[in-house]
Amino acid sequence: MHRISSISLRQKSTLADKLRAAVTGSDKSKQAVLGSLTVKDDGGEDFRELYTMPKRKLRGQLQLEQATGRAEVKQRSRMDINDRLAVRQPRSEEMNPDQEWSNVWPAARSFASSVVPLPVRMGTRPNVDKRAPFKKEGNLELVKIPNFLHLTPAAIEKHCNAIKKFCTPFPPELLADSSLQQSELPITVQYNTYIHQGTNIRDIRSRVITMTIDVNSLKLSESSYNKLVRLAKDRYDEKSGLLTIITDRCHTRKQNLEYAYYLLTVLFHESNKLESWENLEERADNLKVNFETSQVRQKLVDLIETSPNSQITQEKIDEFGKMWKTYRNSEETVESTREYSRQIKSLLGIRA
Amino acid sequence: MLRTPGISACRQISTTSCAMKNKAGKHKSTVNRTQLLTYEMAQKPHHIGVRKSWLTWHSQNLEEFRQSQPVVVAQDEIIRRFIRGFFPQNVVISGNELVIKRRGNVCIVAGFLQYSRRLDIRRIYWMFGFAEEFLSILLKQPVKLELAFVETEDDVAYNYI
Repeated sequence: MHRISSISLRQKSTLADKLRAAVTGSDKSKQAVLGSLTVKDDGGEDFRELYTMPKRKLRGQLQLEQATGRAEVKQRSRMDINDRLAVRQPRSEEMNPDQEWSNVWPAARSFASSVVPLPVRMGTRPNVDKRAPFKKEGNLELVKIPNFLHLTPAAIEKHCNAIKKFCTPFPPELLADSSLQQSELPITVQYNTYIHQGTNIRDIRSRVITMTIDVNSLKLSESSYNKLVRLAKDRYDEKSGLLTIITDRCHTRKQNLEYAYYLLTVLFHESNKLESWENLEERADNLKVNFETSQVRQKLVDLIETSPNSQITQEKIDEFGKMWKTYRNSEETVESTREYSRQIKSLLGIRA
Repeated sequence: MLRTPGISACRQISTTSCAMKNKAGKHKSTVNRTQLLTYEMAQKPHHIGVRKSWLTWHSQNLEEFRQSQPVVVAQDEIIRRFIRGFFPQNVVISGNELVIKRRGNVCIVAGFLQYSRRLDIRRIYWMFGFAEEFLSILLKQPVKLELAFVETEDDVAYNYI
């Protein structure tokens, strides 16, 4: 769009005159006009006018005349004058301090200088004392940074009050005593939610479900517990007594969660079953070395029987059995071996 | 064309001392200090990534989230070129400084436009709607324009040199 500050007018256009004359058919056309082809000289030759400059005022000439005041300057308004008049003052200038800010800025959006009534500045200056940081209007730095103008404390409180009716309070008993959590809430389900952006906001990692179950709360019998341990393999952690089921084979989180519950159900019922061949279990098949059926115990019992005046009592054997069980069923260390030696010496009455 | 191997071999050797000065980030000022600099332009090369060049915000450049980084780069370029070409009368600094933010699956284009040449409010509203709709369909995700208007390019000037 060019500005209409300089006006070029075709004045004294011979062609226009000629056209007008041709249309109106006036007598002037027959009259000999200077510069026209009808003018002939004495010899009957066409008079060819010398061309020095066009027969209209050029732009420079007009501008000179306008500047010196010899020609009338035509003032024309801009094409978009109505739109320019309609531009109003920034909204921030006519804001009421008592207004509800969350109605002005309800959701996350880029900084808008005309809306935010704060006298903020942003950006560095080499010398701030000399020259203040960059102003609010037209400041790209303020637009770039993520702002939290929609997350004012008042807005958050409003939001919380709105969703409060969908919430239930956390059990106060569990808050008071966290040890109840294990028995009251034996199943823990963990999953990750990924917040990111793109054309597709799904994340394939969010489908994985990790379910942790406290096995003690299943109240299994000895044999079904052993069976569950065998079936669960390394998913069962004996130290903490927790069974961990990780499911990721289905496409969605819900499917995986349902599959995890299905696995737990199947595992529970399968361990409670007693097949006929399970009665054939021998000592060597046990998960843990057993003291009650061990040769050591048998030998100690025989010792009591053969020497009735010995100091060995049933309590002492039981105490030794406890130690023996942990010694046999855990990794052998120097300390456990020393403990074994100490106990067997005290049991047999041998002085160290 | 015949070329003597001896001459070309000689020409490759230059024994004059190298007079290249390290000139990065140094500008030559104009006589009247009329050259406009925005904040981005005024920053030095060692500020890149610190004060400068945060013109696109997305999570695909984070560790473990690099699933479609090239797609994002291509989308950025498409958006920038479209805005530059669709608002040729209105862009400031030839449309080089547009901020593209992504939130969820929404793509937000922020920055500044000017109306010094012609202000046609109805046309601007229509163009905003068209650009949003067109880019949304093209990129298969909602695109929002949060472009703010300044009167002239001078409003975004950080400094004049």
